[in-house]
Amino acid sequence: MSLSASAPTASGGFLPELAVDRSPATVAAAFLLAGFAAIWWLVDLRQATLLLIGGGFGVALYHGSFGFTGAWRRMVVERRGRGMRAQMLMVGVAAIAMMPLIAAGSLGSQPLVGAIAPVGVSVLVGAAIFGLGMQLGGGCGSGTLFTVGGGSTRMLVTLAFFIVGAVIGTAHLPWWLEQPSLPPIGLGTELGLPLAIAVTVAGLAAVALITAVIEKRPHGGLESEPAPRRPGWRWLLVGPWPLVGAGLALALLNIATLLVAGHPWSITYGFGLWGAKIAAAVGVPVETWTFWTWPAQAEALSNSVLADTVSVMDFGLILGAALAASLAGKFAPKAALPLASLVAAAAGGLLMGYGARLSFGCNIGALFSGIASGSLHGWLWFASAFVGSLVGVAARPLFGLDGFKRRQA
Amino acid sequence: MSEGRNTALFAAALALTTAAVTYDHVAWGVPEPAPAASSAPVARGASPCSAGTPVQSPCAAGAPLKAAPPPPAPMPQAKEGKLPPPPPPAPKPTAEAPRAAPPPPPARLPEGASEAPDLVPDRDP
Repeated sequence: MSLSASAPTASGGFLPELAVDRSPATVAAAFLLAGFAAIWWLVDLRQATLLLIGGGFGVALYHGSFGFTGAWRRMVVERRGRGMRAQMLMVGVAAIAMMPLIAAGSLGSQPLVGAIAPVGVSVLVGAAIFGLGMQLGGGCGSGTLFTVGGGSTRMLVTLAFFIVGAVIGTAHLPWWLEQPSLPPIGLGTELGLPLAIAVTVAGLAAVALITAVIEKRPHGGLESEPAPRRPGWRWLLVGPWPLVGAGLALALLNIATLLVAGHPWSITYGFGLWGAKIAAAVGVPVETWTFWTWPAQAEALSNSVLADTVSVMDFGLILGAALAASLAGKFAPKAALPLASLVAAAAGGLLMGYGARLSFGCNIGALFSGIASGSLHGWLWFASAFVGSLVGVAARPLFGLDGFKRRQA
Repeated sequence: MSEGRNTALFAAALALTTAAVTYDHVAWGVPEPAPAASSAPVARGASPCSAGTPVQSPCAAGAPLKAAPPPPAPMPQAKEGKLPPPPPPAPKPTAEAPRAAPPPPPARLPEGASEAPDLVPDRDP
């Protein structure tokens, strides 16, 4: 099947005609629908709905190419901040809706809780490790999943080691939590809801402003959002989506996640759980590790993975991204994989998995959902991961990847 | 499908993952749903920050749940002699109130009618 593009316009023209990858698209759509029905039957409607919400995340992430890793690298290497400004908009929109919901505590019979975690050494160190790892791995938590869904072989390696790192992180987290730390600090509780929202939005706006100032110096202006590059509304189906549009879709989906799951969007908890289940299956006594004796973790470990909200959403995200990639005619392209690049993928995955466990999540669970919940640890995570990301950009050339541009003599 | 794709690799990955999830589900199953009126902290589908956990607890995925709050401190004992006096006992009735007339005996059911089981009087004393 092919979707033809019409004649180019005066505004710069449309993308060339594309051919949908029909078989992967059919399989991904079938798995989403069959998964929805099966999970509804085996677990409940809520879990099945979360699979579809995860699918929506996958489509939005893929069609928007909405990643933190590339956007942060582009900011520091090219001085282009369009991606980071879209991220700040996304978090701000979510925060305005989610903080009042979390402050209310429930909606109907559904309890609502935020991603609020302690502010301590574990977050500081873990986020820095994560930031370093995401530049080597080539994607953060969401980036790894949606590129795996899109058929990236390299990111399969990253994901595998991400899972290993997350399991190691669960073994060490209790020790890290004994290091100096402040208790969980929710801005809504500390400042009151109106001021907490105002402070959060002001902080996000300040970051966006800084990126604009940095961008204007070398470029003289801000990079504009390109117009849709497919005729009519076809771009909604086959992409690409504008960054701002994808960011707004992700914000709405995170709000939907809060309302349906009772907690904001999270990704990397599922990786640790999958790894622990695999380890247990081959005889590693993970159930005796302190982390897995905590009530919620023990409960998750001893239940079907389909009963875990985070895992089900991760499955949906991968399938949604696979569907989007297939519709865009870009599923699973073959690409050269130098050994050094694979080593970087493995190292990056390990670092991200370990760092995410120490810092209570990744760009999604800690930064996006944390800040949108009004948790101070989200801001610490952001700052620390950005510093780690700088180190990661500097280290990329060691693995044959692009890093900071060399200054012309 | 276009040429030059790794579709087979991802088909294998999908099949492997589906098999693993199926095995896990069969091996562990899903938790019983909590009763509607229960305040149990972990219900079906619960994850670290999901339904039922106290709102004030840290809820980022994998964060340890805050220990349960201590029970409320006992009410301070009022100093002796400062308690308000207990109310006086109610006075005993000086005379018995006239008893109400006994209810009339139930009307006899028509022939052939049956009574609801709970309303059938015991035959034994």
